[in-house]
Amino acid sequence: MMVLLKQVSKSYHPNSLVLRNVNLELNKGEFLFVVGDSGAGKTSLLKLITGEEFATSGIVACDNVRFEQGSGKMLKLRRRIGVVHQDYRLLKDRTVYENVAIPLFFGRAGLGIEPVSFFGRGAERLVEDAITAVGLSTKVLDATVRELSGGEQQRVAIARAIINKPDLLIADEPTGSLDHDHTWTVMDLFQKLNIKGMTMLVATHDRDIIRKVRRRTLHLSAGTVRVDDREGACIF
Amino acid sequence: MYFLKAALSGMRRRLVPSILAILGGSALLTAAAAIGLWSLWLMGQQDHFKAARSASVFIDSAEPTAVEEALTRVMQIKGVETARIVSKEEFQAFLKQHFPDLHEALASLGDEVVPRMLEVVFPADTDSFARKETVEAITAVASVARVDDGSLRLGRALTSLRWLGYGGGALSIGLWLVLFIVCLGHYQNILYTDAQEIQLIRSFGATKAAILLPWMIEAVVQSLTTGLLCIVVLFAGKTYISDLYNQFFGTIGYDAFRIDFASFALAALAIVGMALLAHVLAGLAALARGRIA
Repeated sequence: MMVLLKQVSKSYHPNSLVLRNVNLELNKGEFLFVVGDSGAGKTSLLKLITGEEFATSGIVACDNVRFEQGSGKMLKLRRRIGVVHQDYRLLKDRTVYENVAIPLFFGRAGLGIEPVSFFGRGAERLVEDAITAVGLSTKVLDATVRELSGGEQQRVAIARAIINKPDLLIADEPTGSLDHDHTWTVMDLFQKLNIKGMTMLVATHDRDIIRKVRRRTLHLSAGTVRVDDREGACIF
Repeated sequence: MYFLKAALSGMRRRLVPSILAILGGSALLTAAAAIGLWSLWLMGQQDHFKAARSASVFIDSAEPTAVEEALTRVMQIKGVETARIVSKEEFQAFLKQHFPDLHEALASLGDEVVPRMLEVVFPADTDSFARKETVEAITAVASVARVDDGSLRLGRALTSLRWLGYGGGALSIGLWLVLFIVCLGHYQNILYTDAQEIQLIRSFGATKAAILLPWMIEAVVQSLTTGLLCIVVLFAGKTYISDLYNQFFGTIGYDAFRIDFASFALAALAIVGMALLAHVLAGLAALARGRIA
């Protein structure tokens, strides 16, 4: 899936831009880190690409579909995008199983997996695969989300984002609450998925990850692109 | 599975508002169904009032032979379908039922003051002209003092009843509208309280129909519960309701109103249908009004 941002600006209040003339072209199968200080505009950039927010000016498009308010094509596109939110956005009163299975009920399943039926037949194996891929035991499936630790909740959110095998995975600080071992379990998983063809867009503060993974890195500062390091060689 | 779980979770979290909505809906729909049933019955009955097809013929003699002779002559008149003598006991029973004070007053005066009368029934297809001729012919019979034509007597009453029927129907619709507004408030509240979940499933590409589906599962459960509660109330109060209606309209000579099995089944279907329709339309309206990205 190709992502294109052309002269994109975003403001939540008049006279204060959180993103200013951002240009970005992310090709299918690429791995991109978005880095920057707090308030640099990383989350806003990611929200524009997920279609959760709309650009104040400029063009945001995925696979030549422009993200605009009320666009019917955008819904279909969202089914091809997996999102790990910074605040996880898990349904706290539901079980882990129910949370992870949610995307399976809204249409397309990607990269060779069958969509599940209305009643969820076929979901069980996919949920188990996703939960083990993020390093969690299948024993947590029946637990409600509020019973889990912050790190476990973050991994449940990642499992939910990848269960539908999306074409594009957008992750906002996906390892923020994880310890060293689990951070690398998740990063290894992301790299494996990327090798299989999934386009990755990861916002992170973790310099260690960027240093070791060495992928294309977009440095944001005060809402503008400071460096688009295609080799991943420039460490901030 | 997701949709069912979401509906169950929603009902669990909104137990108190849901119970209040069910109770409020039951009260509104029971009233709407009771009024609606009666209006429906009233509309249907207007052409079948016995009094509209009949006339009371008063005889100016208390002699039984004179009354019987008058009956024989009246029966021979063209345009009379049937005729019969209204006995003193029947007349007094009628008074006792509908005009108890008058009955007591007449009973104290003795039998001689009770009018001797015949009840004449005209064929259903009699036109007004033929009927007028028949009434004139009956008036010409010896010993007939006066003929009280039911259709003339009922003219204004029937018009009033027709308007009452329309009014009852309008009141039912009004009560349904109140229920619709209650449901609209309920779903707009869900849009607010479940904003996070709606936003989340929307980010996975959920259509508006998918957002609506758990609400509709909840709506079916609520509608069935509302319907069940209404039917219980209606069943418990059917004798009271029937008596109430018949108390006001029992004097104009129709078959008494009663809630039989057919009208009960109709009411049950109508209540569940009205509740479901209110929920579905309110859900759609809430979605259309809500700004969902």
